[in-house]
Amino acid sequence: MTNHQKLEQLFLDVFLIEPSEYRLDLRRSEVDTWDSLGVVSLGVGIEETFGYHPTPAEARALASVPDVIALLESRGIGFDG
Amino acid sequence: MARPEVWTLAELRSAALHRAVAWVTPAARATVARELEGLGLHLATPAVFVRDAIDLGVVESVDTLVVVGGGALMDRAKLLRRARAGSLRLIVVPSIWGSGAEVSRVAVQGPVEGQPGEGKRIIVDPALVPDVRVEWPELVARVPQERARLASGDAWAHVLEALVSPLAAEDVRRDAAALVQRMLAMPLTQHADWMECSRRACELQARSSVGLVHGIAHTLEAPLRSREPGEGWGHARLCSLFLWPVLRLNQQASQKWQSHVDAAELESSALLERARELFSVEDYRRTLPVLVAEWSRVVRDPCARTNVSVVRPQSLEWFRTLVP
Repeated sequence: MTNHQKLEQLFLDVFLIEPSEYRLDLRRSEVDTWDSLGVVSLGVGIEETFGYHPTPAEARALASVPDVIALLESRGIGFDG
Repeated sequence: MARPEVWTLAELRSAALHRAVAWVTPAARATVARELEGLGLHLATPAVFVRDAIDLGVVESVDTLVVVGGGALMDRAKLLRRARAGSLRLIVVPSIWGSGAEVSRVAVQGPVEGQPGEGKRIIVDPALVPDVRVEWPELVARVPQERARLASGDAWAHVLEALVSPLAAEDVRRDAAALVQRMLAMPLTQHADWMECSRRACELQARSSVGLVHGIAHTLEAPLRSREPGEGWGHARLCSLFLWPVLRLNQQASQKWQSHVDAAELESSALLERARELFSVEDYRRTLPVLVAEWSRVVRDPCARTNVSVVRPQSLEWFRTLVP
């Protein structure tokens, strides 16, 4: 499984959205379940899936799929290909 | 954090209670009637809300509500008192440990009657802290053995979910670790320290969060009661039942659970062993069909969303295959 696929699965599991709802440019404002508890759960899921533990400030600042990818890439987790 | 004033039974007896209503759990009703006779307390029947008693003119100008019971009864009284904007003094007398409701600023609002599908709601508000809590050791000492075991399981669920909560600060984890060590030395039966330990466990979860154990308990309680009325499906029983399965799920789903346990210098085997003592294969088989039916609501429950591992739709498979 590529990191893109892992990230998509994580979004489906954490935010309980359908595969058809997931997009690479998906934003927090478009996902009802990306609320304050969703921020906590996404942070837990990022660590579980990619091994990086976002700080509370980093987790709160995430507002889109590109934000998550940028954070993980800044920690050396690649999303090429 | 606001704390209730602490009274002894003698202080309760000497308090001005001539404008009070007492709301007493059935198991303690005879004892309360005997011990508090002559105080002019109106003992409302459990089925009657104090609000109803006041509205019906049973007691005029009520200024105090005395609640003798467990977490559900205390939570109901805390919410009622909050709705009256503090015009009612609330005195709580816990008849069993486990919930810690006698000190906490948290109340769980049960589903509205006739709408069991709505589930439970957690309300956090400093205005929910009772004014007075009464220590009545003789009352607690009469708790039957099985209820004592389940109440201990409730406290265990609180402290272990606080220990590994993604919202716990380091001081919470440190305090939780110390409390776990203390509780490991206690039996899952009557013990003089349970009331204090369960209060501490409740305070710790209020400073962090609970997790999937509570998400399951809060979601399943109403459907189970509807499906098997009179079978005693309550919060403590469900927390006790699902503690071991959830600990094991967390252990295999995330390294985080083990790292928190290691950091606390605890032995995971000891925790799992204690949780296993609270588990019942028979109860698990009875609840599994309801868990399967309600899983989509469990994963959306706020408690499940602050679990130490992500609770996924496919996590249900773990529970399906746990017991052959």
